[in-house]
Amino acid sequence: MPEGNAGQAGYAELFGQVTRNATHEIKNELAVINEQTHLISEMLEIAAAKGREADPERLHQLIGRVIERVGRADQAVKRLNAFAHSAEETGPVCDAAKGARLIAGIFARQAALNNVTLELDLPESLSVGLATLDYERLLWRALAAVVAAAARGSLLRLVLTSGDEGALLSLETQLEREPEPLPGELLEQMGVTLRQGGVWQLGLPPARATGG
Amino acid sequence: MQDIRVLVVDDDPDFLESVSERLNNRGCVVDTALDGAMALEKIGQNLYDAIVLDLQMPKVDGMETLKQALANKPSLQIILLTGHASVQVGVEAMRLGALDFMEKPADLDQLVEKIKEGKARRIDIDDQTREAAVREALKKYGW
Repeated sequence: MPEGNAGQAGYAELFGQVTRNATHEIKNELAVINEQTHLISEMLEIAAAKGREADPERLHQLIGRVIERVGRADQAVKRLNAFAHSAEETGPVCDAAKGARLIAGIFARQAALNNVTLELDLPESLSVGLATLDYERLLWRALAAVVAAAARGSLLRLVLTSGDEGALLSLETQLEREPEPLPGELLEQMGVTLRQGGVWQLGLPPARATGG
Repeated sequence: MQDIRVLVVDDDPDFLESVSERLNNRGCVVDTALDGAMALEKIGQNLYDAIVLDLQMPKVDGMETLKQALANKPSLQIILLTGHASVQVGVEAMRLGALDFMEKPADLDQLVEKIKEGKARRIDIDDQTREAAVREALKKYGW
């Protein structure tokens, strides 16, 4: 991992983006849970004031939604926690499939605000020769660039495949314009290649055996 | 209070449904929109005493909806509701003409008080606009 000021600033930017998106998602879920539980309480109060019972079907429906939204909030917290723990993985190799699932999960809300839906086509696990935080930073920047340039209402497929020379991560979508390129210096530093034009393809370096 | 007409705009259908029902329990007549584009269409066709507007939405976001809505109907009273309030966004919203800026989860009773304030202000502005139009017409005909 680059230890210089630029590297540190890059990680700080990633932490800022990830926490901002994740906490916003959690806050939204809490706001819905708050409204629905207050509504349930008001329904019971109104029914009691009229000497009746609240509609059990409607109550059941609302409680079901609360349970669903608690589940969603829990998933968002788990993703944020997994991201926080990924900072502890300091080795030169990471699982690109696991990292893609995590970052795409957190980025989904940002994509939705741009009216873009993410779809993942990933193997269970695939090791590449990148530090976890570097890979996550690269992926976040690539997703942000492609989503900003994607056509509204489009689907963005994230496809990860292995090859002789590491792995290939493709970001397939309908582009409205050419995405902002990723900084060449960053790609060079990580040993990553970027093929643009229609579909963005990131060539990720292979995981090398270490030790002896 | 039955004649307070409110448009609630939010991209989350569950949030929209619960807030609408709770406002309805407090005597408001509620209309809803799932995004800024739909909200602008409804604002163009109907008269509302207040608009409760989410900030972050796909297609047209809350700030852009606020700008376009007020450009067409300056007497509109818009209350922005957001997950994460910041001083910067709040100042920008007020500068653009929002009635207020509240953080989710909002206290519904406080929101209703704000909506009532919005209705009073809208009526006041409409009265002033009508009066100005009458004065202008009288002046034109030399009365």
